[in-house]
This record gives sequence, structure tokens and C-alpha cells, in this order.
Amino acid sequence: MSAAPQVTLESSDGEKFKVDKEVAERSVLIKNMIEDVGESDNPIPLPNVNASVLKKVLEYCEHHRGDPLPAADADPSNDDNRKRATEISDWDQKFIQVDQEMLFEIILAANYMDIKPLLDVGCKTVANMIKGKTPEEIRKLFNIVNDFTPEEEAQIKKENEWAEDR
Amino acid sequence: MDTLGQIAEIIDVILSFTSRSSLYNCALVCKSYHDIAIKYLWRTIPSAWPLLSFLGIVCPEFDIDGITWRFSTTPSQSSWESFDKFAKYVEVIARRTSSGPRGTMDYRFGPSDLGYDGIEEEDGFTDRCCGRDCIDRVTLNQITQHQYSAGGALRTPLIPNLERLDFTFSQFRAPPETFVPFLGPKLKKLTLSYHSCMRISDQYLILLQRLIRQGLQELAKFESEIPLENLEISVQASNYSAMRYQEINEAILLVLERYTKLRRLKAPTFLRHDGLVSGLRHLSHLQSLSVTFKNPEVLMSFLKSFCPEHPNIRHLELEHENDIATPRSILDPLLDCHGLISLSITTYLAGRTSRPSNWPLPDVHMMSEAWPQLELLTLCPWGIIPLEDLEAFQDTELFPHLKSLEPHHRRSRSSSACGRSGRSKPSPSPIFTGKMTFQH
Repeated sequence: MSAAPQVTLESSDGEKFKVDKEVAERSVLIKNMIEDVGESDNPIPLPNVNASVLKKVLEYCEHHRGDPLPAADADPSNDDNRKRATEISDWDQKFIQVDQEMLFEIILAANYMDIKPLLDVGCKTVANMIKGKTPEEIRKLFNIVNDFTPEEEAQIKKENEWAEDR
Repeated sequence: MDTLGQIAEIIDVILSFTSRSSLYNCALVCKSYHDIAIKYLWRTIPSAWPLLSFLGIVCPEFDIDGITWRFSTTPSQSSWESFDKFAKYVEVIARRTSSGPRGTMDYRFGPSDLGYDGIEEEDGFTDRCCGRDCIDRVTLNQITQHQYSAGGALRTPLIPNLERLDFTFSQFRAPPETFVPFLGPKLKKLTLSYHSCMRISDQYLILLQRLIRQGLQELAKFESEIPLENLEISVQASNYSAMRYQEINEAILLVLERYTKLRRLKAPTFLRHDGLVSGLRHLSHLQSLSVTFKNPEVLMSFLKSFCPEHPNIRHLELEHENDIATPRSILDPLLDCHGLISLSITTYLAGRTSRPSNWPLPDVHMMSEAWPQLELLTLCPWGIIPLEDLEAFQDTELFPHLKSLEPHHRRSRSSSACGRSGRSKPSPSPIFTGKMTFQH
């Protein structure tokens, strides 16, 4: 029996990871790169992902290597799709229990590498972190500057008053 | 590299998983967050009222028929612009993600003063807008179809992307066509509920009958194409069984003629089976039916005609409201429906005093072969189902997909089954009145 084909990924800090092609192709970015350049022994550079984050991302890809890939044309607004999407498996929950810095890095890497299921798991976790936070606390979490005038802020409060949790 | 909070496409994904109150706070973070947050915030709204409030102040008018609610002035161009800004995001108008009877509203209108603390919904949304959000109490005469003009342009549809509308009439004087302005080119699910928490007088019963009938007639004659797939008509009143259903039944049949792509229909009581059978004959996509009949004989006649014509029906919820035990043979026609995933046969009558008779199930292997995909089975036929029949349902080889078995006797609509977990043996009591849930 021949060994599964492998590819080498190189992190931003120069560390190389040899993984099964099937695992690496959970990333749409890598899958497209392999299709574009063909089979090669050269490592695939990932200049936006450092070694510690890439290791974590590959752990996720390895665990989910046999999962069906999400359809490219799946409609996220569809109720069924959304409901399915809100469920996080026990393994994923444990996997994503990391400090905030690592969580944000994983999300950025999942976005860059185009791994939608991982992006969703990370973003759901952040959505839970936002729950109950004031606008100021959310700004602090994401390092955002308030660019509203007081008048604009009052207008938004008025327009969306029905949704306010009082 | 940008930080996470500055990448719009990531914020978009995060906010797509965020609850309503959090979205409200996110809309106040900064301009870029606001633009993303309102898209999700307004996707599902508890009633049309948050939108309608852009069009002006609603004032009560007292006349001989009681109180109606009208906009104080004709909505201005800028009011319509505000309305449109948010209306384009709205896909669902529903108080709850799951349907259920309300019937608890009073007849006042105005800011919520009901002491309603909000209910955490399935999707984590908290609804606190009870009192003021009942557009069913607002007469929308001023925004009927031909009056949607602003700057000379015809304004239709009112909410262009609306896919689901749950509309509750709790004020019987509301115009029957009140929901019509919200019908649009993307509407797939429409729930029309007529509820009263109190025993209503004969006079109001007639008003309610007229309201339902005329509303359905309006739906049947709506000119534009609607991709309606799911229609639920729900009537709840403590003495609603006294309702004269003939006219309502006829109006429903008109609706069925018009909307032949229906996949799900929930209808109130039908007096005769033949009209409904022929009305459903044209619905080749029908997968789910929920209907009540006056007595078990009509239900039986219905099934004898319906089942051979719809052998692939997936969900059936059948009820009769007569003080007669359901005949056991009612299951026989259903054995031809091999696609059934859920089946419910119930009867209800508050205060029933007669003793239930024995109600053995057909051969369990026959049922297993007939319904290989069965997941949910509810049998409340006012009869005692032998325990050995119930135990057979625990065999995972016979019913590999069964998740819930509910064989209790329902005394009234408000009664509920108590849940049990695990695939364990039912209670050794001679009459099992609980609900078994199975985990695979």
C-alpha cells in the first residue's frame, strides 16, 4: 500500500510542517495553490501564520480530515444551515479553549487559509465573549475607536430601540 | 497585519452568530460595525412594528365598532426612506423561532406595561417588546397595496426580502386584510393565528369567523406571485369548537387552489373530508399536514382517501375533537404511507369522564415495515395501548430512527407530556402516560 501523498507547509517564522495532502487541503487556499502549481517538493509558504498557530490549525485539520467539505454555494442565511452552524461539537469546544490572543490568531489564520468550519468555530466563541458587553467594552476587546458623534449615537439608539436589552 | 476587530469580513461572521441584544450594542461600537450589525439585527424582528414606527405615530380612534389604530399623519418621503433603509434587511417577522399558541394578549395598545420580562428564545434572542409590538391591533388601512406611492413610484412590495411572516390577530376588529401589505415575492412561510385567551361571546365569534374567512379570501386572490411553501392557520379560543367552520373551510380550499406549491399546511377544523381531499390533490409537493376533524369518522374517511394519493407524506398531525374513542382501524390506511417521519393522532376534550377502552396497536413488524423512517410517534386516541405494544418500540432494529414515543391520553389542549430520557422500559403502571425519548 503506497503512503498517503504529503505536502510541506512553512510558517512565517520558518518552521516546516510535513502533513498529509488530505489534511492540508482542508484549507481552500492551500488546495487552490496545489492545483495551480501542481505537485512539488517545495514547501508552501504561509507568511501570515506563525508556527504555534499553524500547529494548532493543523491539529484541527487533522481531526476533521474526513469531514465533508462545506459546499462553496451554501447559503448561510438559510435557517437550516444556520441552525446546523450554531452547533459546536465537544471536541471543537475543547480545541478552542485557548487564551484570547491565540483565539484571535486562529481566527485570522482560518480566514487567511480559508478554512470556513474553523473560522465559524472561532467566531462563535468570540460571539459568546461579546454577549453582555457594553459598546465600550466591545471597543476595548477589539481595539476600536468610537467614530460616532453624540447625535449619531442617539439616532442609532432610537432606530433600534426595540432591540435594546433593558 | 490588521487586528481581528478591523477586518470587516471576520466581524461579519462573528456578528452573524450574535444575539439580538448584543447586536444592538455592536451597532453602537463604530460606523463600520454598525453597518454590519444592523444587517443581522433586522433580519428577524418580532413584529412589523419596529418598521412601522418609522412611518409615524399611531393614534387610537374610537367609533361604534370600538377602537382602531391609525397613523396620525400620512407618512412623509423621509419616513419612507427610513422605513426602506431597514425593511430591505428583514427576512423574518416572528415573535418566536418555534410556533406556539399565544392567546395571552390584552387589548391595550401602547408601550409595554405588562410586566413582561422577556423570554429567552431558541436562538438566544430575548423578546421584550410584547405590548407595543402587536401590529394586529393596528389598522393599516393607510398602507394598503394601492397606497404605497411615494414620489409617484409604486411602492410594492412593502418588505422586499420577507421570507417568513407570523401574523397574530388578537383584536377581532382588525381588518382581515391587515397582513396583505406584507405579502411579497420571497414569502415562503405564512402563519395566520387567531387567538383569544378568553371565552368569547357569540357576537365576537361571528366577527372572528368573518375575519378568518375574509383574510383567507384576500390571500387567495392576491395577484402577485408568492413562492408560498408553508401555510399555517391557527385558531385558538376557549370555545372555538363552537365555531361554524363551513365558510372557513371553503376559504381554505380557495387558498389551496391558488398556492399549489405548498409543502406544509396546518389547517383548523374541517367539517367534511371530501373537500379537503380534493383540495390537497393538486399539492404534489405536500410533505406535512396538520389538520383537525370534528369526529373520528370524518378523520377515518379522510385517511382512506388521502393516504393512497399521498403515500410519500412525511409528517402528519391529525386530531379530532369528539367525545368518541378513536377507532383502532384508523392506523390501517396510514400503513401505506411509507415515508412517514412523524405521526401524531390525538383527540382532546376537556372534562371527559368516560373510561378509555383497550387500543392495541397493529402488528409491530407491520408498522416497522410500513414506517422505516419513523422518528416521532404520538398516539393519544383515548384508549389504553397495551404495555407490550409500547415495549416493542424499544427495539432499535425495528425502529432504528425513533426518537420520541408519546402514547398518553390528552385531556385538554393545555396538557403536556412528561419527558423521559434514555431507551428504558416504560413505567410498569397499567397505563403509560409519559413520553419516551430515545437516544441513538
